[in-house]
Amino acid sequence: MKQTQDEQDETQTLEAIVEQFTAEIRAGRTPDVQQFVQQNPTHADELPDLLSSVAMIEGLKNYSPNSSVPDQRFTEIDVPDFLGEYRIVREIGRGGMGIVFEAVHETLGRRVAIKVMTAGLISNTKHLERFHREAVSAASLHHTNIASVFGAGEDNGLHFYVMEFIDGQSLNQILQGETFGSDETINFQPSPGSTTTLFSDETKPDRSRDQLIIGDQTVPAKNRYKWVADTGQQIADALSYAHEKNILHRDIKPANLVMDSHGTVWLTDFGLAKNIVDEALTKTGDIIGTPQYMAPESFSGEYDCRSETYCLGLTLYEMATLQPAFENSSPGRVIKAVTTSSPLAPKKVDARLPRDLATIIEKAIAREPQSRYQTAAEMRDDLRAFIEDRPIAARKMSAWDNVVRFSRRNPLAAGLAAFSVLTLALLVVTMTIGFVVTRSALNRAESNVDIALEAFDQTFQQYITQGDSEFEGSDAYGFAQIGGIEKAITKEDAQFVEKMLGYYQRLAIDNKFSRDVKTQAATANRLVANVYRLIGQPDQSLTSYQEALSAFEALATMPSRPMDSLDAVQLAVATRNEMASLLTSTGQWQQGLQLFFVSKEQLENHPNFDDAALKLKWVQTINQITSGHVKVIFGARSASAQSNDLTNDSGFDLNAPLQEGKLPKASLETMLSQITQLGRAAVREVDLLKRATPDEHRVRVTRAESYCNLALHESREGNAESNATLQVAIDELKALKEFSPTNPQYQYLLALTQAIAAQNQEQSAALISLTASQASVADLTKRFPKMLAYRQLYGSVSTELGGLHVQLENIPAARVILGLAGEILLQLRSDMPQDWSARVNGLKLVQHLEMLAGQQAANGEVDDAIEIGIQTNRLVEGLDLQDWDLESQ
Amino acid sequence: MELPAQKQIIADLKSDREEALAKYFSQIRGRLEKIVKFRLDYRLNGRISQSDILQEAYVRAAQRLDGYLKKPEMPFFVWIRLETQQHILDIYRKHFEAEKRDVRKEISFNRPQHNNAGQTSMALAAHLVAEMTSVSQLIEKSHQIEMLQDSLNTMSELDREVIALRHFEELSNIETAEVLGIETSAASKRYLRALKRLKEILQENLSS
Repeated sequence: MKQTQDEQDETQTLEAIVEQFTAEIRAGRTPDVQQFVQQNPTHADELPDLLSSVAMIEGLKNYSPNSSVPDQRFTEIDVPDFLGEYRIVREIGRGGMGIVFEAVHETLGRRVAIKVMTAGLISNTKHLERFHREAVSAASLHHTNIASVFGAGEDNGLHFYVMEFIDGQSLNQILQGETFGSDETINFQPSPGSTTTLFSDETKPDRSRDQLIIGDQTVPAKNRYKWVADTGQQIADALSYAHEKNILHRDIKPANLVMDSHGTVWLTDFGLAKNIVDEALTKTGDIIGTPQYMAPESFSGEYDCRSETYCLGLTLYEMATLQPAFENSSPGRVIKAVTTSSPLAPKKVDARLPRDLATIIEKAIAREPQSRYQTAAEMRDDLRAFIEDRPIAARKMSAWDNVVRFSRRNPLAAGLAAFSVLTLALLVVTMTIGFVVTRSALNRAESNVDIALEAFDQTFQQYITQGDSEFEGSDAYGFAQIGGIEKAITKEDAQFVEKMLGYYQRLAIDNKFSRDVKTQAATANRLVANVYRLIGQPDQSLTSYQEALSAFEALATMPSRPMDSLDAVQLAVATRNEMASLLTSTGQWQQGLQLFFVSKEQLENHPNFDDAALKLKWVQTINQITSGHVKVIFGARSASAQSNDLTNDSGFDLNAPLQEGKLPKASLETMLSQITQLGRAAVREVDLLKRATPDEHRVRVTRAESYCNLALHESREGNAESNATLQVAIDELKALKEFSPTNPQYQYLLALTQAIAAQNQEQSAALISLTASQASVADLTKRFPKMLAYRQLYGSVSTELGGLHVQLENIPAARVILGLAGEILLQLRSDMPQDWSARVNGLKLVQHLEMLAGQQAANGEVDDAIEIGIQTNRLVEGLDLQDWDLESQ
Repeated sequence: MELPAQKQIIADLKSDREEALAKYFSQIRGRLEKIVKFRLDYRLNGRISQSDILQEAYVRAAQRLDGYLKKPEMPFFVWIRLETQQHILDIYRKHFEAEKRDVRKEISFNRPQHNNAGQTSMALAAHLVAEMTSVSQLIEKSHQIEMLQDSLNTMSELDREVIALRHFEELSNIETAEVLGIETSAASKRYLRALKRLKEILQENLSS
């Protein structure tokens, strides 16, 4: 190309100006573009563009005026033959922070690794101070998986520190040995005609490769997962130990994990370790790390032990899938990827990855720190559980969680979610079921089912845990929990639930999937049963209980991992007990009792009966048996006193033919004294449990119940211990209530203790106790109108209180309260036609009313006596008491 | 340290052979380190020491000294740079040799080549990130770096290479012209045009 002389001159001038500008920047100055333009007005058009381009490129090269010599970090270190007393043997490797040498202590002959820090890193006293602090803190760590730090030193201006020498390969080397030398290509030159951009088209490693080579051993894929988990639990244990000492490693990545020839993995290079409490040196902007292995929050200067478990998670991800969670591409892209996206689900990268391990990894690398393992110890425990084939604590990231997450990130969706969480959940379920159903001819992916199940599950969790975290983590599908939800289930909710049920039952019936799905399907049936029970359909409820129960029973006996079986046994017992309590509450109480005894025996005969969880279930089962008769005591005592049929020598026979609606043809006293003995045994066991875990909430509630029920039975027997026993329950409940003042369960149990206390008190004290109890339980039924247990207690306490007023001849109060009791019982009867407690209490109520009518007649208030008589008749009719009355007379 | 004139260097190399080569090599060592650092694939960073590479590049140059002296058209620095780059290529080949189908072209001794320009962008990213010691700095600049990368990617290979040579290898215009095998004025023109083009692309990217 021919250029004119003018053009040539022009180019030369511009070139000279640009060169000068560049030279200024490289000399560490910040030349002003405007000034350059002013000095060369003839080129005012072009110079701004040219110079700002130069300024940008050179600026990015980190020639900041503050760092006088920008390249120091990578300048070679001329390492002498000796550093202090250590003779340098060879260079082992190098990284951003310095070069590591193998060295030998001259007099001791000890082989060590010495890390010489690159000069630029310790350019000021602040860095030097930090360097020494790090060495001191790291030297305090003594753990089988942490390469010991022996100390720090300085020789000839070189700062170094001395570590235990680990003869092995870093995980980075092991993993790279995997990816390098195979098909990861370097786009060394663009293929002819290629117009692809160079950054985005990273070649994907071939995943068909199965083997890792560690030293001279080859790890095949199927063993790799255990190896990954084992390596992970070793490091998690090391981290847990360091975190307890308030020391963070700050740079967990494959390059800092060294595998020795014994398969022990070592956490090396606590070179970046900084004391958590050392705030002075921990300022944003001084965080050093490797972007590819950094937690998202560290980019905003936040870093804690959950960031370390995240980094460990990333490392395990890479070990398990043989692919880094985030591709090592340009820094901008890495940071963008780390801070705005989540890695591909590990199971999508490697389909053979065991689900539990995938779950552990996914939990560890959750974007939000609060969703991760909160401590390294938790992560370690789960990894160990995986290795030992025990169930892990981490929950699979659910579709629902993803919906929530998605909503959090997308304001529009968040608004929608807040507007109607239920609608959204229903949508997810409907869509998923639709998907599953349309593909029914094909093999249905379990994951589809999972999504539906979990969306359903989470919707209930929303209800169940609403406003009260106390319920979280306990038996979330239990009837008590569902019935005790803060938000009363309205007609609309019931419709919604029934709609969901349809889908859910379809899944439960249709899918013959793996154990997990079977468990979920059984759980679904249990949930369905509880919801039916809640909306007053006991027959459907029983059917679903039966289905859930047989499924859990099958799972419990299915050959499987022992912990799974243990879980299944507990679920079977919980379901059977719920079924039993439904039977008991609907009058089939002998059947119910029988079922409770089946649960009791199932637990006692289980090989793992010593397990705390099974013991607790056992105590809870006994509590059900003892409390199941709270109603018997309140309602049937007086009735039984008049019954001829009840005195029978045969004793209580569980196998006797059942007669619905009839009091048992057995010795009530014998049965009750058996039950009292059981109550004593339960108290003994639960005391042992409390001693083992004094703060365990479930144990404490169960204990309060046990004592409460025992006190009731003792009181009935006229045992003087009763008050002391009751006091234990009251103390436990008051302590619990202080912790969670609005918890309905505590309030219920406290109201119950007051009612029991009244049994042993003289009339005036009993009046106070029963009045308080009645007020408290009235509040509960207002808050939880559907909760059967509360309404039953409300009915019986009101009956008792009314009866007491009759005895005290407080006629107006007696009339009001007995009237109220009648309404409660009639309502119970109409909502739950088979509710037996309403009729038992009704018998008592009728007696009280008859006595009241007698009093009024004696007082000459004949009209009123007649009115009470009419009221009584209506009650007898409404509660269908004629038969009962006749039979028990 | 400035090198003496090309004629002087050639004369010294002819008479003192390796002794002269070592002397002049050490004079340009600092500049070569920059180039090695820039050109060395980021995946090899930390696995191979830079001094080893320079050592081997020196050995390579010594072996080829006769060839160079027969036809010393290329300035000494440019020649050594080429040998160094060639050596880096050999290292890649060794490390990534499983990639058989990519039979990389032997870089012709005489033919100025810029067909590893693809590598330039990659090197640039790695280079920039390696320079940064703190994350806050990285975040602050990552966006710009990404923009620069994107912009460079949309430029022609030659433009991209010119910028790499001038700003990352820190070659002078004359050296750049030698490496690219074009006239100095053409190199200069290309460089200025590339800068201008870069600014335009950056602005386009900014506004989009």
